[in-house]
Amino acid sequence: MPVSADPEGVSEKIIQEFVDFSGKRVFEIGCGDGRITMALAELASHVTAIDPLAEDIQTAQQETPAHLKGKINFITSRIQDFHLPESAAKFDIALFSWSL
Amino acid sequence: MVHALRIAASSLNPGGVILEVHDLIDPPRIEIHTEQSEVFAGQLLSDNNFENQRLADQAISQVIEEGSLQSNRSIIFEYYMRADTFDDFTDWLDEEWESAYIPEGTRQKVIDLVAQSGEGSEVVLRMVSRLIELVPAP
Repeated sequence: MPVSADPEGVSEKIIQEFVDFSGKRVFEIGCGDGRITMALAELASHVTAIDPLAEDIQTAQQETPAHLKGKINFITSRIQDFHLPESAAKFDIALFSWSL
Repeated sequence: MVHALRIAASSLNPGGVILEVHDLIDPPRIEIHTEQSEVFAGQLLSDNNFENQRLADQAISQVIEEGSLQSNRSIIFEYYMRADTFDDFTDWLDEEWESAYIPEGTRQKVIDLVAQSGEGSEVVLRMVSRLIELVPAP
């Protein structure tokens, strides 16, 4: 790839070390192509990741490794339009990574 | 942005936290990296004065001032955007960061430094971001 965004993975490491994601339910708002989502899903119990761009969500879904597919729910949505079902469990961590 | 923070807060379990990351308003540094050296060429500027970052700062300040969220702690960190060539770098800027521009003097300096550095050099944008932890106020 001619341009690499954070190829050293500094941002993922900083976020993972800042808060303990182990076993947590995570809500990522503005997940883009899912680069950070997948790193967090390695630790979290489940990640719900939303982004308004369907193309990015499709890319994220395609690039999710098989062992994480059951732990991540990618949804095309703006946060303003996202409704958590009343029966659904809430989240332990909400993350805006360059997406506020 | 304030509304987005409020929605995120309402989706949390008791004891839950919001993490927010965005780049600082300071113009990022453009550098030329080789195996042996890292040379500063100039700064990347923005024709809207980094408005997105400024608005994110304002939104966080607002929710803290109104008392709905409080800031627990934060950390500043650096990361890199790495381009193999100056053309790759400018193409990426055109596609991904329309408001950003390279001042003419800096542009020429980057071109000269890349030419001097030869094979294996990279055009690098040194980004600085803040990660902040917010929690619903008691």
